[in-house]
Parts: sequence; structure tokens; C-alpha cells
Amino acid sequence: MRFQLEGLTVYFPYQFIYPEQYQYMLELKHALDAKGHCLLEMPTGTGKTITLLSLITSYQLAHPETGKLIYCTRTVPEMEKVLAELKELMEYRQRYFQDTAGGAPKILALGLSSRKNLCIHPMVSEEGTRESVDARCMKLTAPWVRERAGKEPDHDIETCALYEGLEGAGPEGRLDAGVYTLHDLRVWGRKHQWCPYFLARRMIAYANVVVYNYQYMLDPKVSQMVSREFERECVVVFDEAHNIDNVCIEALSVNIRSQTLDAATRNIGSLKREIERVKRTDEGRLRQEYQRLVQGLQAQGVLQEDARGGGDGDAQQWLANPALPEDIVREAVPGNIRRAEHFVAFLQRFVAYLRTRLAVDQVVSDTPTSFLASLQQAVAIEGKTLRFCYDRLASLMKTLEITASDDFHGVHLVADFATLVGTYSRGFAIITEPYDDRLPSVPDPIIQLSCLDASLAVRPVFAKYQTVVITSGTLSPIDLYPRILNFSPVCIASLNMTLTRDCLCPVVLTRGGDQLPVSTKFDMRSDPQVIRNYGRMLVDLAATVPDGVVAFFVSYSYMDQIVSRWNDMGILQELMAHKLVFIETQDVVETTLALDNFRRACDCGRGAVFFSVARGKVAEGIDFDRHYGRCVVMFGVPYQYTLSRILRARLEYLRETFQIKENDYLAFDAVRQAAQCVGRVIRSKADYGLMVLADKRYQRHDKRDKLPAWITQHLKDSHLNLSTDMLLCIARDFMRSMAQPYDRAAVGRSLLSEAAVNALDTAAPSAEAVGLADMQTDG
Amino acid sequence: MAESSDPVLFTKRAQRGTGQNAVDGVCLITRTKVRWEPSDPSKAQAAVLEISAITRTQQAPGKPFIKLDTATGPLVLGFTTVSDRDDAVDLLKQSKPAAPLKAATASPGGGDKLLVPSAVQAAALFQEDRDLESVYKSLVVAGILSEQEFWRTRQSQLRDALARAGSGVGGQRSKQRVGLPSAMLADVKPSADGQTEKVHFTLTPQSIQQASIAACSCIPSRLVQIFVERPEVHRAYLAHVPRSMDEKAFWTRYFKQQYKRMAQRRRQGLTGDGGDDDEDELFAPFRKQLREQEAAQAKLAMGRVDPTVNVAADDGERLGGGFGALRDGTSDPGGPQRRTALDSIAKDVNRHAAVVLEGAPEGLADLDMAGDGSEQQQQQQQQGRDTSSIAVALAAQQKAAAAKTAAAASAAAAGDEDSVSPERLREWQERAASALEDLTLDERHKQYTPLNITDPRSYFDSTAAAMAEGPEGKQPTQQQQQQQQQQQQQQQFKGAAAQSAASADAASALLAALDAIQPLALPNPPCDPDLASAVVLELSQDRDEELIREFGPVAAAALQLPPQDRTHGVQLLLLEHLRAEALKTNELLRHFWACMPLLSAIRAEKAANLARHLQEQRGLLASHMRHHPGSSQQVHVTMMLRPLAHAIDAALARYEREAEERQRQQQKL
Repeated sequence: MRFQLEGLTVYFPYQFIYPEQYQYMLELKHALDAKGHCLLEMPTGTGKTITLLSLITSYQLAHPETGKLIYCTRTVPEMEKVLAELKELMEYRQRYFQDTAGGAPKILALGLSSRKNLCIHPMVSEEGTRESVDARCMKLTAPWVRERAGKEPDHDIETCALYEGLEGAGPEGRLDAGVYTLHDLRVWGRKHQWCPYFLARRMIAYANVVVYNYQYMLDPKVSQMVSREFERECVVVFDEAHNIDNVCIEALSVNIRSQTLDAATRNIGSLKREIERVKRTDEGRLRQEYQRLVQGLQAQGVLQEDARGGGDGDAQQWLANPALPEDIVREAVPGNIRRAEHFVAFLQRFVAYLRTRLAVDQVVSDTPTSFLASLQQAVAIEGKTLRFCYDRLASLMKTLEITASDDFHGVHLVADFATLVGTYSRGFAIITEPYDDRLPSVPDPIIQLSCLDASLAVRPVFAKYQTVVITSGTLSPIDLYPRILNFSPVCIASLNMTLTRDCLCPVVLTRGGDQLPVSTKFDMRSDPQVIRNYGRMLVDLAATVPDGVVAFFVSYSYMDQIVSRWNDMGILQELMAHKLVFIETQDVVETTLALDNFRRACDCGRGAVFFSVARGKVAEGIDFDRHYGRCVVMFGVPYQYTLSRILRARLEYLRETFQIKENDYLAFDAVRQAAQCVGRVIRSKADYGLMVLADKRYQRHDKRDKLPAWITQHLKDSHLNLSTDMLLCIARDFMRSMAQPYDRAAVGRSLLSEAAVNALDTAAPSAEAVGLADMQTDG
Repeated sequence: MAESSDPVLFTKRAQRGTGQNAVDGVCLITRTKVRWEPSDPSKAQAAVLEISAITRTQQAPGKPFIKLDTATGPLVLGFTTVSDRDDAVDLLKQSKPAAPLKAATASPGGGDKLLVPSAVQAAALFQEDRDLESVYKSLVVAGILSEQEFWRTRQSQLRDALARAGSGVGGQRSKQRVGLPSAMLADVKPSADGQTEKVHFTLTPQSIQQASIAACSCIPSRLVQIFVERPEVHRAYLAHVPRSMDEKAFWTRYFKQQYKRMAQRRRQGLTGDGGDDDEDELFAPFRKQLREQEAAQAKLAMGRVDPTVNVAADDGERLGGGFGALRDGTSDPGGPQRRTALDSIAKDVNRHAAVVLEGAPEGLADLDMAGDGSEQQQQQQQQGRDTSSIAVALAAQQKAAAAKTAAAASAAAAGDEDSVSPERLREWQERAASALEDLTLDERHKQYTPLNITDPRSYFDSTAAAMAEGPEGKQPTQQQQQQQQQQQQQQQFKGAAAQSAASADAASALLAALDAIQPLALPNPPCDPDLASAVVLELSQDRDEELIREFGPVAAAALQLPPQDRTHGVQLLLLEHLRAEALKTNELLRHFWACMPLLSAIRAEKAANLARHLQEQRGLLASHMRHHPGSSQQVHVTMMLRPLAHAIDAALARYEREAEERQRQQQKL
């Protein structure tokens, strides 16, 4: 359909639209008009993604001065879904431009991922991990390697034909307009014999829509490399952003183990040897570097331009500085680390100091300030020098022309650590633990530099881009997010779901078949009776519910334990007699194959049960919509491990800075995870799902209040305190009534047709509509 | 509806419950159900139990009570006298064994597959029913209806006929099938409570012997299951059994190792730590080999995975080692240890599910699995009776499959494309993009996908059976035939399903309701034929005026004759011909009305086609009626054909209305 939204022509790829989608578009448009940030919550199952894509691409069409749409997703599967929906939208939009001269306006949209997911080089793509793929790739594409290969063709220096192909194509090496998933990029690359990764990197500058992972925007190490050149007018969307605070914090945290320090020591040794070698053969190079540092030039770019003769500087990237751009001091590298030998000696001292710090037999907690003070005292290294550690190392590696970046991971990590400690004095904690509290028998000392303030990492994003949209199905309490992310949105809205039938059926199961309470509370979780009750319930549900059933457990260890107990009790065997069982493991390949098989089992009508873990990979990014998930069971309340020192430090920081009570935050975090898990089964209003929250604690007010509104408003009082037998009755009734054909009489109530939407727009003059929206924003 | 066909065999007053809470009511027993209805509906709800669902019946000696246990809970009834109770118990006893039989012959629900008889079966059916043959010839052979469309309207008839004939394509399967327990779970195992476990362990040698004997002699399917789900055992067997150890020794080793595993797992489950992976040296080397092979296979399979479930791709986006929060509240410290303990239950469970899923040949639409049919043939050529031949045959089969995947892999490597077929890509795209199905009017999303379940047993059983067959197995055995038939049917079914997929919601609900009727249980004929003909005669008297008006005195004369004599003047051959025409017309009309209302494109198309044929048929009938003008024969023919012509007219009129309506709707959209 095509309709007018306060003067904006919106193309939406369906014949009907939900009222809340319309409302969402209005809010979004106001934020775009006001060139400000916004925070929108809309229940799962109302088509957020397509609404966002549809409005923003229409806005881009009407206002060509709008920049790119940068769509950030949590996971690669989500990225693929976004691109698939965008593809559909673009195909649909064409029909409205058939008469227009020049055809439909074309856009370029692409997904960007790591080399590991995009590489098509026959050897490099066989590497196992992301780091090794990156390193192999750099070995073939580093500027000096290519230069040497060009100069000395007899020496048989290996380069990457695909990369050379792309370079050789020059300005011709580009993508046609269209929507490219990762698969499409690989196909295009194979067709033209170009490297898809570098092609994508090159093309994001020209793209209208870029879809990539959160990291590429939030992690300073990556974003300075990938997202540096985006213009201010871009619209940045963080979808499924309920966990954005955790991502921000992780982006600025570093851990150092004794293995890291061992590796760093080895690396320093090889750096030394390398310096000796270069001194003997080509001393000029080191001297030049020294001169540059004296002049205070920021090392990277300059050297590269020299080496490459002015080509674009993409090829050679180390990870960029781990600190945020505005925190990096633009001045000359201090004198005491300008010389290569001096710098290496400095690193050696620093590593030795870290080693003494690591040798603790109890937990030590520091702030960056106190850490720097003791560092100064012990080895006379000052914070300012530490701050340059990262840049200095990068410059040295380039001067020495070292390509094996994964071999030098240890020393890089130490340099990152040094730079972060030297740069930030607030919002961080340095926690040294001799072992993990949960495994006290395994000595594993570790120094953790943990970011506590989520707003640090996201600050430059809010500052740089005109409009940042943060959206998810679960953002309640919504006023918490502007505080912990420290920004002021122009629109905050939490939209409700209009339903014509109760396609959501959340229930709280508090008792098992024998009327004993069930819970994953620490003192109850290994009680055989609780385990048996949980198992019996799942078996009975599997016998009652058709098609797919998903079960979420609070953690991997709990799942392993309960599965093994169920195995002993024969419950697993009974379950298998009803449905096929698939289990998420920590092996991602196995999990992926299990998921694929699960879908096949559901597709052919057999039905299956999938065991998964809250906060796990599956819970984060995989939908169990339609027949893939007719019932979801959340076993227990997915609390974090509350004794974790890092969590404690963070809670303390939250309490001091935002006056958020610890228990409130923990419950809020657990319940948002649970809501996220159970929300996985709904993707549209024609869809339906039974949501079983199986723990007596969900009955309590402090948990229930934190559930998002779209769950609580469907949670009937009579469904708050169920035992297994009652649950089965409800399940039967629900499945029977929902399996009836979906009634289209709902049009008008929960669906708006094209005519209705246009009537809505003309009926409410835009000024009034703005006033209305403002009122809602205030409320 | 089904209850009306289920006569009540027993009615007695009975209280529900005992003591003071007992509620007065009546107990009714039919052939399949026990019902209890309260005399005062406000006091309690009626209860209905399927007799087949009753797991246990308990009577109190000397008291008129009976307790019926089912999976959903017990029903306790108190009769007025003990003899009443005993009668009820007798009835239940009689009904109980009959129930499964009945379930087997009863018409399965709408979810079952479309039955299409093979050529032989069809011939047999035609032998019984010549009319059927003539209709079949005039409609299917003439190309007006497809094979599936024709048989679809005769499913229950067909099912009964086939069940009678004993070939039992659909009749033998019960309605709901339970899945297979996996090999890991099905083995002899100690039960959960401590005491019996102890007993089991002391009994170990015997049970192993028994189990191994059992495994060797009786249940080839179980063996295949072990071999398929634990390939290291399979390999070890192939390598060792005839040469370095005998059958019994091997299986003893195997079961010993199984016990060890189980004990170890239990320890792990209780303490939560990984524990060391001490393995029997018999299987360990093969395990190591297999790990590598499996990794390679997994890699290949990953290429075919739907990108929207590919969580492995996400690994490339994670923060590298050293970054991120390592020991925050969400991390899992024991994870790495458990990950190294490859021998996890989760792995076994996933493997079992994958094996069962692979076993359903038509469940796997993608390219690499398409060759299952040939594999089966290959197995069938492998003859043998005992374990070793099973093992060898299975190995050959796996080898063939491996060769195929290897070929696919090299093709993928050599080709320019990823190893994903374009159909699968389109499927993914569609699935990802069609989430909001209720927002669209597009009928593409309204099509139903047919269920496609194969009994998992058929995989293991057929493999085992094929291998256990005698040496003359080169002749197509009955089983092979059956398999072929099934495959054929599945293909045909797929075609039919695509066409019928668009049938509207209302119709499917109606179909389901109609399916619940058991045609056999309906009174046949519905009423006294003599009475019926008398009524029809009486009712048709007033129509005659019209005839007389049209044909004058000839008609009046013809009408003088009693009805059974009216056809005397007509040639027998013509009569036969007209009868065939009438049958054909009726069949056409039946299919036509099944298409009403025109809710989908497929229906509209079919109706248009049928309307055209009806039009032709109408012309044909009219020409018959014009023949021999002025004779009494014309009057008789007209009398016979006129109702048919009217019926066609009504159908065509309805069709025009519907078509117009549909056009209008489409324009509106």
C-alpha cells in the first residue's frame, strides 16, 4: 500500500497495516523531522523491522538530504532477516513507479560482516576462527606484501587474486543497485572474481542502507575503522536494543590472563629480534619512524600513504584505538617511548608489573586512579605514557611490516589495556581474581578491566549522528534507558498491541502435577521432585501442543544438569516418543545444525522440542514463529550470577550514579530476558503461542510488574497460579480455539486498509496530529 | 456426530466419587466410550473416557465401586448394585481389545494422506464396481479430472475397499504414532532410584548376555539403530567381529561400556563438572576418526543451512578473545570444560533426532538427500540374515551416501555458486519476508503446506527388513512394492496437495467435520427403498402436466404405464449409454459443487473447467432429448434426463453468480 503520513508518501509492502505500526511511523517521522534521537518500544509480533525500513526508506526518498540508514542488529541471522524484508519492500515499491520515467528509484543496501563470513578465497575461508581468517587475509593483502610481490615477481610472493581483481577493476569494481545479503555478496564476488569483503567495505560509502552488527557502531576498535566516514545526517537504528547497555560495556572491557601475559612476553621477544634485524638491514626505516613521532604525526595513515602511493587506506587495518575518538589526545608521542628499543623495554616492564598484579590469592578491586598510582610507584610508568601505548605499538608493527596479527594478539591486548587505563579515570573498575567463584578449585587468575558505564561507548554515536533510534519489544521500564545511556530523546513512546483475538496466552505455572511448588531458586533447583515435575510438565505439553515447542533454561549448566537427570528418570525417553528433541550446545555448528533440523521436523509436521538457554545465542537471535513455536516454556527466572564481582561493581555504580536499587536492577534484567525468550514465538497477529513461565516466583508482584505491558495485559488472574493439570486444560483449550482459521473480519479494528489510513491522515490535519503525538510523548 | 453411530450398550445409575462427595448420575457405556452424566448438571460436569485410554480398571471387592485410571486422571463410579458393576466391567473387558482394531479400521482424520490406488488395486475396484469404471473412464481417462481429484471424493470408499482387500495401505496404521526412543535411551539401563540400580549392577553379566543375545537374534531394527546412532560401534564391529573377537564378546564389551558411560554421566550430572572421558579402547580409535569426518560433514551441511538460523555465522562478529566481560553474571565458567567433554547427552539426543529425520526420505527436500530411493534398492540387494550382514550392508549404504555427499562437495567447490539450490534460497527469502501474513491479501501465503510425516520406524524397520530378507530378494518383494507404491503415492499426493492447498478455511473445517462421520456406521440404505420409490412417484405426479403440454398425447399415453415399465420401449443399449451419461454428469456435478464457493484461484480455475464440461454435457443431454421427435421414446428419455439437465442449469447459474462476485471482489482489491 502507499499512503500519506503527514505529507510524506510511505510505501508499505502489505495491503493492510496495524494501527500501532502507523503510530510507530508517526513517532519515527517526528523524530526524523526534529533531527533528534528517539526511543520506541513496540511489542514483539507487530512487525517493527518492516515498519522501520518502510518509513525510513520512504523518508529518504522524499528527503534526499537524509543520509544513510545504518541498521544495527545483534546477530547475523537477524541481519539476514532485515535484508530479506528490505528486499521484499523494494520489490513491492517498484509497482508504484512503473509509469515514472526512469523506473523506480534504486537503492543500494548491503550487509557487512566479518571476513570470516564473507571470504571466498579457497584457502583463507577454510580457516577456523575469525582471528585466523583476518590474519591470513592480511598476510595476502597487506600493502607491503603487495608492493613486494609487484617489485619482485620472481620471488613467488603469495597474494589474493580476488583482492587484486577488485583493485585491478578500479572504479569499475562496484555493486549495482539492489539489496545484497551476505550470500548475494559472495555470489557477486564469485561472479566477478572480486573480494566480497573489501567490495562491501568500499561500497558502504555509497550505500543507502547498511546493515551490520552493533559492534561496528559501538566498539571504538571497529567503528573507527568501518564507520568513520559516515556523514552526520545518517539515521542509526539499534534494533532489539534491550541489551544495548551490555554491548556497550563489553565493547570497552578487557581481560588479561596469565596466558595473555606469556604470549605478550613472547611477542615482545620477537619484536626485539625484529628490531635488531631491521637495524642491521634497513636502519633508515626505524629512523624515519622516529622522525615522524618526533614531529607528532599520528603514525598510521602517513606511513600507509607512502607505501601505497596514495591508494585508499582500507587494506591495512589493525584494530583501531580501543579508546573513543574524542578521548584520544592529539599530541606527540612522549619522548620515552619514541625509540623502538625504548618502547619495547617499556612494554616489558609493564608486562612484568601486570604479572606481579596477577599473582594474587584473593580478589583485589581497584579504580583506574589507584592502579595508576601503584604503577607509578612500582615501575615508574605514568598514565600519560600508557595512553599512547596502543598507537605506538601500531606504528611499530607497521614499521617492522609484521602481518601475523593473530600471533601478536597478546601484546595487542596488553597495549589496549594500557591505553584504556591511561585514558579513563571514571566509569571503570579493575578487578583481579585468583579464580572464578563458581569454580574455586580451578586456579585461573585474571585481571579484568571492566567498563561500568554504558553511556561511554554509545556517547560518540549520539554525538555524531543526527538521529539515533533505539527500539525493541522489551524496553520497560522505558525511562531507565535514557538514564543509563545518558541521552535525551525527542520521542519516547511505548506502543500497545491491538488484538482481535487473544493470540498470546501467558501463564504462570507455580506447582507441578503433585501440587508441590516448582522453582529454579538455588535451594530448590536440584530437588528431584522439582526436576521431575518440570519434566512431566514438558512431556504432557509435548503430547498436547502440536508442532514446535521451545523450552528455555536459566543457564547451560542448569540445562545440562536437568537433561541428565531427565535421562536418568526416563523422562527424556518419554519426551522423544512425542516429539523429536533438539538441544542447544555451546558448539555453534552443532547448534545451527540442530536448529536447521528442528525447522525441518516442524516443516514436515512431525513437531519437535528445542531446548535452549536464556541469554544464549538462540534466545538472542532466532525466532520460533508460526509452527516453529506454538508453545514456549521458560523454566525458572534467568537471573545472572549475582555474586560476580563485575556485576557487583556495576550494580554499585548504578546505585551511586542513577540511584537504581540492586535488587530492582537484577529482577529487571532477569525478567527482560524471560520476556525476550517467551516473545520469540510471536511474529504477527495471525500467529499464536502459549507462554509458560514455570516458576513460582513469577507470581510475585516484583517480578510481574517488570514484565512488559504486552504480556501483563494478557496475563489473566486465573492463570497466575497454575499446576500442571490446569495448565494442560488451558493449553488444550487455547490450541483448539487458536487453530481456527484467522478471521479477516478484524479489518478495521486491528488492521487498517489503504483507504482507512489515508482517511486517517486527511481527517487529522497535520498540526493536530503533531499536537497529539506531543501529548503522548509527554505522557 | 460420531457418537450417534456409537450405540449405547449399557445404562445404569451410578454415583461419581464415593462417600459424601458422591454425585448422582448415570453411567453410559458405548463401544468406545464410558460416559458419566450427572442427574443435576449444576452439581458436576459430565465425564467422557475413551475405553482405549483406560490404563487400569480397579474394582472394590464386595462393593459396587469401580475406578478407571487414565492418563488424565481416575474416574471413580459407584453403582447401585455389585451386579451392575460387574456388567460394566464385563462390557469394558469386551470393548477393550476391540478398540485398537476399530481405531485401525476407522477412517483416519483429515491429516492423513490421500489414498490413490495403484493400477492393480484400481483394476480390482473396477472389477467390483463397473459404474465406477465407466465414470473413471469418461472423466479421468478423458482428461477432465485428474487422478487425485477423482479419488479424493471417494476416500472412505477406497479405504474400506483397500482394507477389505487386505493390502492395507492406510488401514493398518493407527492414527497417532509415537516416536522412537533413541539407542542411547533404549538400552538396558538402571532405573532412577538407588536400590534398583544396585540390583542392576550386580545382575550386569546376565543382562548383558540376555541383551546381547536379544540384540543378535531378534531385533535387527534395534541393531541398525545402534549402528546408525553410534557409528564408532559400527566401525569397531566391522573391524573386529569375525576376526579378533566373537559376536558375544563384542556386545559384552559394548554393553559394559554403555554402563560405564551411564555411570559417568550420572556423576557428571550430579556434580556438574566434566569428568574425564575414559573410553573403551575398542571404540576410541574409531571415535577419533569419526570426529574428523563428522567435522567435515558438518562443515558441508553448514553451507546448506538457512542463514536466518545460522548462529555459527555470528561467531565471526563476537568480540575477540580477551575483550568483553569474562566473568560477569551471565558468563558460564564451566562451559569450556563441558564443551571438551564431547560425550554429552545433548550430542546423543541431537544425533538421534537427526538420524530419525534423515530417515524420513521425503522430509528432506534438498538435493543431496534425494537419492534415498536408490539407496534402499542398494540395501535390498545386500542380502543376509545376521548382524554382520546388517553391519556390512549398512556400511555399503553409508559409503554410497558418503560418495554422493563427497561428489556434492567437490561440485560445490568447483562450481561458482554456494552449495545452495536456488529453490532453497527462495524459500528462505520467502519465509523471512512473509512474517506478517495477516497483513497481506496475497493468496500465496494462504496455501497450506501438507503434512509430511513418515513413521520413523519405517526407516529402521525397512533397512533391517531389507537386509534380513532371503537370497531370492531380487524379485520385487511385497515390501518393495509397498515402498514403491508409497513413493508413488507421495508423489501424487504432492501434486494433489499443491492443487488443493488453496482450499478455504471453512471448507477444511467442514471436511474435518465430515471426516468424523463413519460412513460404515450409517444405516444403509437410509430408508426403506419401496417406501422411497412410492414417495418419489407420488411427488413426481404433478410434474407430468408439463410433459403433456410439451409432447401432447404421446406423453399422456406414456405416462399411463407404471414407472417400472416405462423403459420398455427404449433400446437396452441406449439405456445403458444414458445411464453412463447420467453417472458421468453426477460425478461432474459432485466435483463442481465441491468447488463452491470460489474462495481461491485454484478453485475458480477448477470450477471454470468443470463448468465448461458441464456445458458440453448439457448439450449432449439436450441432443438425446431431441432424438426421435414425437415418439414415446423421446418422452421417456426426456423424463429420465430432464432432472439432470435442470441440475446442470442450476449449477451453471450458480457458477455465473459466483464468478461475477469473485471478479467484483478482485477489482475492489
